[in-house]
Amino acid sequence: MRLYTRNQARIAVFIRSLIRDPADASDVMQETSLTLWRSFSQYDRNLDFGSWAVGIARNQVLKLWRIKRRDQELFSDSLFLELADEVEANLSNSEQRLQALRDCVQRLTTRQRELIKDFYGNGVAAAEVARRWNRNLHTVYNALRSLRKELGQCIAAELNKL
Amino acid sequence: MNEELRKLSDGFLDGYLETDQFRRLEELLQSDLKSKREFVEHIVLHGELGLIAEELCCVDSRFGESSSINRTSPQVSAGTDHSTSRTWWQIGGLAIAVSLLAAALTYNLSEREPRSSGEVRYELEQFPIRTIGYTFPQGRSGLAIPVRAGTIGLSVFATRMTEAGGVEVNVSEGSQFGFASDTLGLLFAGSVRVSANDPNSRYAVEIGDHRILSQGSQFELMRSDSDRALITVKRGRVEIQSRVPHPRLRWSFDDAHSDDLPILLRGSSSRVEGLIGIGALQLADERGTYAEIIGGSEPTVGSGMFALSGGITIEAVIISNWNAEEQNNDVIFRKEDGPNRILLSFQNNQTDYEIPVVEPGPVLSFGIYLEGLGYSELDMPLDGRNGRPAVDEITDGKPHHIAATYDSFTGMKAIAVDGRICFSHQFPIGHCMRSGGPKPAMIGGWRKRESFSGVIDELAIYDFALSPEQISKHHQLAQQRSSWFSESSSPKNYWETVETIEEGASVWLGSHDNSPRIN
Repeated sequence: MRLYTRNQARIAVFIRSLIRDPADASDVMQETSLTLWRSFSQYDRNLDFGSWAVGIARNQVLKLWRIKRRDQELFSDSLFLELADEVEANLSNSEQRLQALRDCVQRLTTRQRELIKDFYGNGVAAAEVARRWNRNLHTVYNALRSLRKELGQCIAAELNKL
Repeated sequence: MNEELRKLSDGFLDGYLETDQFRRLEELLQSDLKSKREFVEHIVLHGELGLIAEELCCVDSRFGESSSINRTSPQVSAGTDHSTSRTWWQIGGLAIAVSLLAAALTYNLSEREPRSSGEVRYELEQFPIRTIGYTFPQGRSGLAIPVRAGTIGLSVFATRMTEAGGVEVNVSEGSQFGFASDTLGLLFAGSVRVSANDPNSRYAVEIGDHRILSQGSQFELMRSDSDRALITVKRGRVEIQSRVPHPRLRWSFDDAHSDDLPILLRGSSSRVEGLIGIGALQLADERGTYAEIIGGSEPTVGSGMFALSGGITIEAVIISNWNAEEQNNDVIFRKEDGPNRILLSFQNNQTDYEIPVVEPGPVLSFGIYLEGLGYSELDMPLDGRNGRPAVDEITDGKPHHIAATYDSFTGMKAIAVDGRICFSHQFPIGHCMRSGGPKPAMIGGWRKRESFSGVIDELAIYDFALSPEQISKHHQLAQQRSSWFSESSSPKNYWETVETIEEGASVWLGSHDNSPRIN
């Protein structure tokens, strides 16, 4: 259990990075948790638990991609696997990245933090945010774009300080 | 990151890329290593923000700030992908948190285990649908495995599940049990004990066409073989109920009041003279021509009128003008909740979903999600072989009765045309369906390549599989242009009590001729 708890954020970020729909991501997270629990006897303790767990999450995500591909534009299996490798590599310093992101988020405006809470935390659709802001949808998309750009640059700067 | 890649990446994350933009993004990612790395950094940030958002919510609420959206009332926006999100990443995490808490508090699970139950109730408030209880494997003290509606499995050890309302469900070793909802379980094999301490709590265990209903009582139910089940009432009284074969939802299209849920006619869809009764729905092979069913959907999968567990029947009388061209599908019914979709459609395209695998060509396809097996479609070839109709026969301009069924108690998935099972597949017994969710149900398809051409009448969705005899009878009535939706169907009594068993009594169900069938 301690192993899981230590790696939980890494697994969650891996899944959420590759699945944009939060409801789907929650399903995959749950399936992954259950599979990890059921398969724990197969885990080789000489290996890194996080990598093993992310490997299981990868299979679950791929399964969902294959289903979703029916109705959505999604990348091929080969490109998915390349992206998954790259995402996993990015998670090697996930603790530092998350800490940097926390610091960066504190520097945002109140409205930007509200946007993160609503869009990412509460799963409110961009269209609903636009309605509440009394703005059009593109304004919300632009705000999200600026937000990610700003945070991306801020994280890079923070990590460079280390 | 250059602006083009940034725009494409954001469009991908927010779900508004056009096909050509998507192709361009794909091309960039395949051809340019730098673009791929930058894209991945971007999507990882997206993933991290999901995590950080939760912390942000907690920090703010601690200091008394309120979010601009009420967290207890998730907002729903039609046509968006984010409407059902909850604290998604916590689902796995909270399960583990509960486990750790339970492990810390509990050295050994006693028979009653009040502390773990308290934790479960908290979880249920947070995730009333997605997580309905926890199993406590015997001999593995302190571990709580989250159980979602529909979860099914052959338990290799005795488990206890605590349901909402304080009902405890103990599944014996070697049993096969499905968690349909927080008030309903399905027993496929083995035995189960239901204990309710609250006299107002209700919990039912279904076995095929019967169910045992506890109202604050305690009982044991054991399936000895495929025909018999022993009920022993330990405390209070229970009711044996028999299924009334009413559809969960039906649309006769006779008038606006005759349907269980209203429909909104889209595009050039219209009401026409009925194939049975006075009205039917006419659809044309045009983009945006369909009937949208208003209501019946709920924000989370496993909820709403279309949330089914033990089985399903989709039934309709149709006149199809499908041209059976490649890539041109004619959808009869679709409830599109991602992989949890329910779909009945004429198809002529290659998908990876078919079970069993059939030769490419025109098919009548019936798709549902089965817990543990995933989404799959039963594709009945319309090839005129082995008793199956050919395309020409089913598109001959005459009405045809169609029924697609799945029964988790038998594992049988089947398609019947004109009163006769023409194609079927045997799944393992005991895989619940998973369906329901936020997306609206549709009669016909809205996409150009999915719009239905023809007439649909007497559409019905049942939460169980109609028997071959019932299907045959409905077909006979359809031939006489008579409806099987009698007026008495309107007050929806899905179950009727056939026997009440008092405390201390044991009764065999299915052991005598008067007992209704047990699957």
